[in-house]
Amino acid sequence: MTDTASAPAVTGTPVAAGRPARPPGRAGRLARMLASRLSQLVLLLFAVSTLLFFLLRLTGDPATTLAGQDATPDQVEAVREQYGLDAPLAKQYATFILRAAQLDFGTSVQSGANALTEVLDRLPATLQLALLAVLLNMLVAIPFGAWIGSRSDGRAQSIASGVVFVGQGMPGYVIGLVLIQVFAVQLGLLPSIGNASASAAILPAVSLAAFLVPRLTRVVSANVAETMDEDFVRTARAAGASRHTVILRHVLPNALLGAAALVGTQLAILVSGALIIEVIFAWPGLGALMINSVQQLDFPIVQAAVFTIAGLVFLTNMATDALLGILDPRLRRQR
Amino acid sequence: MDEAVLDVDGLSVVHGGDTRIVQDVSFRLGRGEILGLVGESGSGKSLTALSLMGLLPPGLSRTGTVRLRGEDLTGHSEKQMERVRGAQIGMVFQDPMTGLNPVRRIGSVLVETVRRHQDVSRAAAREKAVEALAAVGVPSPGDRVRAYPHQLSGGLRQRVMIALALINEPSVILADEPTTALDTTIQAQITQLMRDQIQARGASMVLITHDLGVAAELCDRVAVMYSGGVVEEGPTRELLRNPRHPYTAALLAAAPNFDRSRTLAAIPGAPPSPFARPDGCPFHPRCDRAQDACSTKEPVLTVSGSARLACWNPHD
Repeated sequence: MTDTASAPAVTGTPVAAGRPARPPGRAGRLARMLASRLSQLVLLLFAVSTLLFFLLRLTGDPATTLAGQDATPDQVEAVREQYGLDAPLAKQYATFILRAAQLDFGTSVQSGANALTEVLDRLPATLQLALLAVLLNMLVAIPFGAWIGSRSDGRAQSIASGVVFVGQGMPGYVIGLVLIQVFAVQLGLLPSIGNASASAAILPAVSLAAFLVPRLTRVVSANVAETMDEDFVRTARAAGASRHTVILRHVLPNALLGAAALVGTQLAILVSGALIIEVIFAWPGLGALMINSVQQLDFPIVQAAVFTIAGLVFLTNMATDALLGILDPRLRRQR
Repeated sequence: MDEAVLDVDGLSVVHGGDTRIVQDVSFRLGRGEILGLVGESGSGKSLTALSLMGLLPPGLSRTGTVRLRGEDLTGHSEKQMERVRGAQIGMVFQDPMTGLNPVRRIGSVLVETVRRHQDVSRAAAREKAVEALAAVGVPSPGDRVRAYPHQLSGGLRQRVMIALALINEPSVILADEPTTALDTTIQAQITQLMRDQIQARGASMVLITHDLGVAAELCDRVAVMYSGGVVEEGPTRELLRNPRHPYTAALLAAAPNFDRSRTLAAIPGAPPSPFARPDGCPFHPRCDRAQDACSTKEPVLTVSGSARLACWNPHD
């Protein structure tokens, strides 16, 4: 099989012949679409910030916590004043929203640094881990799922599918702890802490991927099994296509379109910081920062982090939609 | 009779080891000949064609002998059948809306099919694809090779399906209700196209249809199937003018024509399920000429002149 002619349509020009002239106002439609998405984003960020503001203040008197257990009432009052916590709630809220609108979340209670800067500093580590894990996930789950789905009544496939089902119930941190025990503690092959060396990313990324693989495998195998019964697959077989060609070039491109949305969701979950895995592996990402800041009631950091994450998730979802629109020729706009 | 291009002998499609959904179908297809397989839905026409291709759905298996240009396909492995499909037997399916891969450009699939069976460069295969589209009457084929199925009308898609079946010049085409899913005006075009292409290439065709009008127009011979078996076969003109099997006669009486004075005569009842066939002739419960013998002994397909017939009490 040497034919790699036109891989399922990632690029290319649509048919020009016989097309009517483009409908007027296409640029306008695009601008409207963008504006609508943008207003959704603003609304989302506003809602998330508001929710967060009140939630944080439901959990007790922040001034008492911030001042520490041994603080005198005077010290507590000083803290209250310092962070503007003595003002009426409505005023605090108004101040918070106005500042948030200018991306000003104040300074970290712990370090005194700009909260947003502190959060953005952690972003690359989290993104690195997230992308690595999702990539690893796809490298394993797509071939594995395709194999299971291409012969879903096979014995080996049935067993594999059962293993995947059980694996889906396995929490990611269990795998992480096992990996640390084997590869870091007993074999001493890989670092289990921090992100100083390139190899340090391996264990946390594998742990995260191991958590993602079962679900993606199941979706891919279900989609492949379903697509195998499609009429166009029979057409391809009637034309003499080999099993290999049928699966790789006829079934998978269709089956993966259906799985792309899940990969997008998985990425969105991971960019919001893999909380437990980051803590276990002391990975200096958003997740670890968030856990620490919540424990320390470092409001500015938590608020800046949640704000950032909401925006990131939104952008990831939008990118997934856009990618689907490009990958699926039926959704592609006639240009 | 000279060497048949396709010689089918005692072909059955078996479900679960004992139920024969298609039973004991035999026919010979001469070079350049078009044979119609006619019957109601569920009579086993499509399964007959799929079994010839080695494309039966899971759970079904084929028995009997299939010879293609003298080559016995009976013992062929899946790998060997892949080499036969598309190269020596092409198949056109009923529904062009679902029969083409929605995410592949049609040219890409055509090129893939050419290069599967012929050792040619990609550029040469692409040229063949454009030629094949032109041959089946696709307008501006040079542009259409880059189209996706959803950008084409149903009629155009069926033309693409035909191009795909013909592109490697197979000697036999199996066409399973190729015009049923199309508008009436398009049907006539596609019917004519298929006849022209078969003639131009010196190929032979098995045309599966429930439409006696299409069969009358296209086929040299017609085999009528009922409940998985052939009940009558003969030259088209003779068979349609003077049907001898009561089922053939009933099918003709049930077919609409332009004679408005005649009411359509529906056949009472429904075809039996292959899991609960009656004893004797499978048609006898619905037959107006049934006799005692019909319900006890199954009639055997017997040759008489150029025709074959399985009936205890045929029309004259």
